[in-house]
Amino acid sequence: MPKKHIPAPIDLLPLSPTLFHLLLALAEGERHGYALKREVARRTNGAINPGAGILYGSINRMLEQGLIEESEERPDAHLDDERRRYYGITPFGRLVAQAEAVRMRELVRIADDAFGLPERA
Amino acid sequence: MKLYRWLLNLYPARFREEYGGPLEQQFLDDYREAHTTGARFKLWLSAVRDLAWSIPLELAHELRQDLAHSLRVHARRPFVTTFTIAILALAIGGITGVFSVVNAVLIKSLPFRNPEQLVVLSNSGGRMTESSAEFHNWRKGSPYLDDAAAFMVAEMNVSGASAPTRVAVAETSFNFFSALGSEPLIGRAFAPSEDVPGNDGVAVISYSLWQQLFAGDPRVLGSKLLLNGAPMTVIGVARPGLNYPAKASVWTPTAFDFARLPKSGVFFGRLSGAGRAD
Repeated sequence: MPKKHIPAPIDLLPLSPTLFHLLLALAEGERHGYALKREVARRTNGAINPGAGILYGSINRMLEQGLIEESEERPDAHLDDERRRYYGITPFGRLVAQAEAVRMRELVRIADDAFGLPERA
Repeated sequence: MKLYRWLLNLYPARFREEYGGPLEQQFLDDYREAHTTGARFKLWLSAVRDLAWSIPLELAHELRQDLAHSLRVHARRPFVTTFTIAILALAIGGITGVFSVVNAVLIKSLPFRNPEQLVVLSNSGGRMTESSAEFHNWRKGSPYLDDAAAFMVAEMNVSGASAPTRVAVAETSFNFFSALGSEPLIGRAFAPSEDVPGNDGVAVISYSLWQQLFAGDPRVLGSKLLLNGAPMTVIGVARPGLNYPAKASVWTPTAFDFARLPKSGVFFGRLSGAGRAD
């Protein structure tokens, strides 16, 4: 059995805005796909509102890269919909999201040095 | 919902099996929240946009994964891979060769009318007939043939509008083109009186020779050619692709002009109903 190549968090950067927001939304706890989409749309005031195809394509990619995992735990029966799948962020996913945030912080610092950023746009 | 479910079939099978259910469920959830016609119309627009964007992405992702997997598998077994590629190359080469032959012999039809009715009749050498009249009496009397034409091929020097060139010349009976079922592209074929010695100084040239010597000029009709020094008047240009027999570039109705060249002839015939039955 050949060893699977495990990438360093920095290898997966930069993340797309959709992927980064999905990871951020999962950092607070497990969610199913539809809840994840609504949370991202709420956080970004609708600027990022992925359709179902883009959403599950992104989930598929994050599962393959080990950024998230499908949760085996289910919520209480009266809150649960059996057809839904729940996803949670992995420790590796946290590291990648952190690395992306650090990258963006560096970008902001460079932009601030260059232009001098106002407190609010 | 049926339409949306049908559109999901455009995703790669693996993705559809894994996420088809959640995709449907999400569309259904959104649809339930869209109460007005306008909201539903907007939902459909955004669903179609999402599908148009995500389906090619998933197909490309699937293709990339399959290619990467295939490369990994083959890289682990270089000898098997080399052997397989060699076998494939040989097989593809062999099949291409066989197809080329089958295509040329069986599939691609000959540029003649009803080519399956044509047969080649070869005599055992020497002069094939004493005269044009004798040959035409024979072919008209044959119960097995609707028609027959005589021909023989010789290499000759052609000169005229440009420097001399060596080409295959078919000397034929006057009815060569009508028996073959391929009338000239421009001009005319030979008249019955023209395969008689003394009256046979005319020629039909091939399409490629027309392009080569006359640059496709339609005023070629009436031009003079010298065939081994003998003057011939061009009366027609054959159809593109016709070079029968023996890649002929010029046809002359001189099959019975025995003084012109020594001849041993070949015939081809077009079988009649009786000929085909036998």
